[in-house]
Amino acid sequence: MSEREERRFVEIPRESVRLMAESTGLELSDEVAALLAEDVCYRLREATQNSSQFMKHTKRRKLTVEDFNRALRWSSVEAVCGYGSQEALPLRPAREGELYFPEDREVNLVELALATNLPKGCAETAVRVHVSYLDGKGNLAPQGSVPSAVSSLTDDLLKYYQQVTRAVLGDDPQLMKVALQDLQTNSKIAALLPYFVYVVSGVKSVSHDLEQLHRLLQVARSLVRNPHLCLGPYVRSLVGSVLYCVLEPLAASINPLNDHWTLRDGAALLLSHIFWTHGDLVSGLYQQILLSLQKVLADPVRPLCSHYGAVVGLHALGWKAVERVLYPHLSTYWTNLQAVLDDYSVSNAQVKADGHKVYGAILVAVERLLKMKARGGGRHPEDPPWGGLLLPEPPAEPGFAPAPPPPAAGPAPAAPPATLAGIYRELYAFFGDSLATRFGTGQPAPAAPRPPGDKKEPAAAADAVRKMPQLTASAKLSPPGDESPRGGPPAAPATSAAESRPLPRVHRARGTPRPQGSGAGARDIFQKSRFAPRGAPHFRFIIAGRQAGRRCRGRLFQTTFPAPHGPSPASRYVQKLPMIGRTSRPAHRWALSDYSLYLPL
Amino acid sequence: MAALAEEQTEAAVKLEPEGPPTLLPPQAGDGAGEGGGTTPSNGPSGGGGSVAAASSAGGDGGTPKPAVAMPAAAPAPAAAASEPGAPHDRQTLLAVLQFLRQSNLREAEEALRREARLLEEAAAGSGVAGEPDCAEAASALLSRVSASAPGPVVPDPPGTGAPGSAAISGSASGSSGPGKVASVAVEDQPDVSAVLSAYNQQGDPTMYEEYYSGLKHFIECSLDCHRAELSQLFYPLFVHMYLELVYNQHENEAKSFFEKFHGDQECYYQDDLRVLSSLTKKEHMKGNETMLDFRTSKFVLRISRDSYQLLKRHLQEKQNNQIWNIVQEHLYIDIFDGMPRSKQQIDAMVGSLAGEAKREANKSKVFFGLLKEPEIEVPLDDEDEEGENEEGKPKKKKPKKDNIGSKSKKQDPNAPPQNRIPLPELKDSDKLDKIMNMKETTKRVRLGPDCLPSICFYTFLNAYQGLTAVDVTDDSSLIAGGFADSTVRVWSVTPRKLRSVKQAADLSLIDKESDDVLERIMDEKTASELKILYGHSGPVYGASFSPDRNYLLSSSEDGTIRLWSLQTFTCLVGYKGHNYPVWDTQFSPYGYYFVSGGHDRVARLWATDHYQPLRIFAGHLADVNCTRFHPNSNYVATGSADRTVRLWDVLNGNCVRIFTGHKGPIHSLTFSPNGRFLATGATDGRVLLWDIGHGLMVGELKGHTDTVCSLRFSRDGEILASGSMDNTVRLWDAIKAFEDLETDDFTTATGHINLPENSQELLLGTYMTKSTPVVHLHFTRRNLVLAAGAYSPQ
Repeated sequence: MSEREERRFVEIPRESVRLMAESTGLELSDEVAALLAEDVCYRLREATQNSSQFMKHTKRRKLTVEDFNRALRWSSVEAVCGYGSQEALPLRPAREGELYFPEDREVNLVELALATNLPKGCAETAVRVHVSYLDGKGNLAPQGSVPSAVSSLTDDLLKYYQQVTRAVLGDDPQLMKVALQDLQTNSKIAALLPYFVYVVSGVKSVSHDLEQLHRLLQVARSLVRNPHLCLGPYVRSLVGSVLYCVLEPLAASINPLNDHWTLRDGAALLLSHIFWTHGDLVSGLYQQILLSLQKVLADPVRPLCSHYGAVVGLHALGWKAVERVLYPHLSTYWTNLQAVLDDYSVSNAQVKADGHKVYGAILVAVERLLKMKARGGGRHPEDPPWGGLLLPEPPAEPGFAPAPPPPAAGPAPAAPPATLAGIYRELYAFFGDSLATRFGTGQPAPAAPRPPGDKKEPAAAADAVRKMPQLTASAKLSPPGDESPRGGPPAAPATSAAESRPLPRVHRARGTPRPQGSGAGARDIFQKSRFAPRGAPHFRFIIAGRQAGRRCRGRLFQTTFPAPHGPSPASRYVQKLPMIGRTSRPAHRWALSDYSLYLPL
Repeated sequence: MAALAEEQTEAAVKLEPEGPPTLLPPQAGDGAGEGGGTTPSNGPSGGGGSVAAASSAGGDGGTPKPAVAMPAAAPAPAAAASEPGAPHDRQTLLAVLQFLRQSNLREAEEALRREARLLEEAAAGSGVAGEPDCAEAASALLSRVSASAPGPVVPDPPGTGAPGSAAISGSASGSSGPGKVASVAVEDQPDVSAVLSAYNQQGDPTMYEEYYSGLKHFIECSLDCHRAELSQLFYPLFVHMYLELVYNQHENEAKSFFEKFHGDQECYYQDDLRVLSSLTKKEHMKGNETMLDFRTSKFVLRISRDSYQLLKRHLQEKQNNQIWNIVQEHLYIDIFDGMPRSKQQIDAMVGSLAGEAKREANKSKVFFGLLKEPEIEVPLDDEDEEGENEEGKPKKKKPKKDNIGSKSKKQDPNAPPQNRIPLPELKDSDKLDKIMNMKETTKRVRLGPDCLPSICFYTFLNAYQGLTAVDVTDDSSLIAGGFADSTVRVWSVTPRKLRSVKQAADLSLIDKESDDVLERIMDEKTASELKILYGHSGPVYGASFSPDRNYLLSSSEDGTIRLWSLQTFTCLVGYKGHNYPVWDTQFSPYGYYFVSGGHDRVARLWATDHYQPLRIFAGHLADVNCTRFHPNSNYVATGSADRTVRLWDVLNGNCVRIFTGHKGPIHSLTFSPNGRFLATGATDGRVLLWDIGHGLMVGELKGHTDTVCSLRFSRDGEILASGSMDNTVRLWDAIKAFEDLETDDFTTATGHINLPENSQELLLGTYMTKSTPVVHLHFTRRNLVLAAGAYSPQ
């Protein structure tokens, strides 16, 4: 065979045969060895040939030891054991000449048996479907028959994901803070985005656990704030999760002791933030959000907490949203709300308290609407309404300042905007003096002057409307600095000073030249509060509809009722009202926020 | 087979509920062989259970030394199958007689003789008159003396080399050419030497090279028009001369002969040459399958009369007896009148292990039309519609007229008689499924070059290179994978989980009258997405769902085919018979029957309620790699490693078509939905298209660079999808490929084809996967392509 030029096959030299024979104690003559060698070669080739059939039918291109063994078995030859490994056997050259042998290391069985790091089992065989080519063209993911998760998620990322989720949902607040901070700044977690979005979408399954909901919202917030992440299609999912917190009657809301209001406020804020920063990623997002908010608001079957969510959501989306959705809807909604508030039965107490929350939220929303209108509308069209107001952490970084609204998503006012005066008049019909007080104009409105203390509304509004609760002011009913949204920090020097601040400020405002020309005359439109300017600066605003700080959750709710205080013109409702405005937030936070009750007139 | 026949009738009586009331009748022609089947209860050589099969197949499976006997045995049924008519049976009978005598089974022989005499008398009249050649061959066998061949061309039936006959005809088959008489002692080496004896004749070994180069010179100097045709001689002559040298132990001469001339051979014979080159000793010839193929089957060449005359004259002038002997003994020269074929025409058709198919092999009529659809739609459909809403009505009526109407209303002239093959009756659930199918049909995408289908890929992850077979149900709700670790795994690809039926004890508690009893019998606890079926003891190479989705078939290296219930997810039957790896299996489109093919070179037809095969389709010279049912269930196509595709008639087991032209083992097959065409894919990466009615190759699709593993036509036959080991799916314009077929009489008569070089025009798209060979393709009822394969990194 050696004379053949083209050597197609491995040949076994007779020396090898003789060696093998000797190892078993046989002595072979040259002739026999040569014959045997040739025959062995032939048999090997034959077996190889046969084994290829097994390879072909296993749809492989690589012949394996297993294939060869099958061929041997079918030719009634014993299979060769011990070479079934998928990896190639390393061959080592012997030092003397051209001799190679497979490396066969000794294995310490004891060590193997006592090893603690057990090898991981093979992953289960699975089928994954993947749309590879749509309509015969386009590769949705290049050559994508393998799910991206399989190929791209490295161990490191997986570990990171596990650590972060564990930290966020775990017990250590410090750890949580770090995790959230990292989530907000890490630039390498793009691959994990879908997973985190999925985690956030878990809000739907933990609606009984306020703490968890808060944490998940914070994860969402961190993701939104991370400048390295392109949320892309995940915006929709995030918005869905956040909206869930805003609108849904959460299981946690059943217990009145749960401060789910804060959650809703925070979620609404986050919603507006997502919208302002990422709204351009999804077309029609604004309309969709508005629609879902409107739907909830228009659904009388929904519980009041959902309505509350809708109102704060609208408020968070800006005054235009309020004007477009809340304002036109107010007249119909009002009757429902009033029915709730007018029911004094004990069984209704809880619902009524909720109703007051809604009332407060609406008041704040329309107040803002009026202010913005008065300011001339277009100037700073969409200040973040409660920027950072209810976030557990102060919105320290300026990055949270909203971007200008995307022109495409910007709402086009559906109805021709009513005049400021018209709106105010109508709103006054609902809210009465409580509205006026908020503006603290202290001047009798020229349009509707009325004697202080008069509960009857003149002219414009219907009687029914005039009977509205007037959650306006109460004189020093609660410990100072505890309830007032504008209350000073606990260490505020003089509560009275802090409380009296509004008026001087107003006066100051009145004294200053108007910053905006377009706002001219706006002040005149605001009807004067009937009690505000009476010299006794002891009124505090308690209606803010916000309970900042989660730690005070439910503490004051329905517990502190303002004692009837003299011949206060404040509505008799006041006595029955829970203290709504609560805050444990230090004053400087309020100062930082651009929330202001006062018109920069 | 008598035993088998009894079995069948018996089963027909007792298995009423499951199977069709009438069963496929026992093969008429097998009557001759059946006599043998009854007697050897003590078995010729320990075949045991497979005696019946053995006798009918001429000793297949029952012979003692599988390695040797199997390859020899395989072609036997071909003799029975491929040549219809009595004379052939007679030949088989004689072969069996000889075999029995050799095995010293006197009793059996006597019994067979008694039986056979009757049959012989019955058959003699028509058979012998009809095909004198065969009769001659038969008598030659009978006399057991060497007889000179009747003429220059020996029109032997393809079964000359049948094992039975091979075993006995040792001496007879040395029907040596003029001048030489072989006398062989058969007795001492009954198996191999009988087969090899033909090589006993020998000339001067040193002259072989001269002979060959002389012929080579002659052919190269002949006219162009003849050269191409005569060049076909090179390969078979080369092989046989080499084998003769080896057999006569002229090792060195053989080697040098090989070295000198193997470069002249066509590239597509490389694989066989590689096998040959390792064969240098007479001892090695024993049991070498390729060698046996050459010996037991005649290499078929198709040559025009002019060219043949030229050759004959040359050989006679030169007194080149050596070559002349080979031509006469080992080649079958199919002479036709008219123009010699061009090189291209020849190249398109050659390449198989045993040359081209004889023209007669493809002459018999094939009923390729579709069966009439049973008219169940109208009443049931109406009921269904009433049950549903009104809006569905107008939509549904239309397609019924379009699709079903054209198929079912008028009988297709090419369709077989409706009850040619007894088919199972439709159950209610089948009817419901048909209705579902029809509804889906209305939503089907009409595909075309401008509207290509979407492709979904089912990737088997973590299969560790072990995925060997995939099947998807017709409604695309289940996917099954056969794995190298002997498991069969079934996944539900819809949200509906797989559930088993409850245990018997629990079942007895169920209210059988309730409406939702079918729901109640399911055990909710067993619901899961995946079910693993354990039972095989070797890689599972084939899997097939029954059309009603109640069963799953799997074929394995362990030689068995298993039938699994998808209600209980247990094995119901293990069909034994192949004894060697079973490469493929498939259910009939009407259920009940199934076909399998394996390493033993035969395909078998089974019925689910019979533990033995109903038919054995033998004739392939190498492994049967893939098997497919014709849409009308009357035919079975098999693709083999001998590089031929054969079409078999289920009714009588005859081979009705032999398609040659592939240059590599065939690994995929599919029929067009209208039943007229067949597409085949091979390891050479080419897909060939065949017209079944005319028995012609009608197209060649080049593009794949590796084995074509899967082929499938779209539901309406507009698109052919092919999946390959080269990790691509390609879509071909089937309408255009079949559009203007030259099926004029001349082409049909001569079988000369001119293939257009239009692969590139027909290729509609190439779609890459990521290192995932495409093992299976499927068109959903709405014409979405589902492809499947195992991700294999590297």
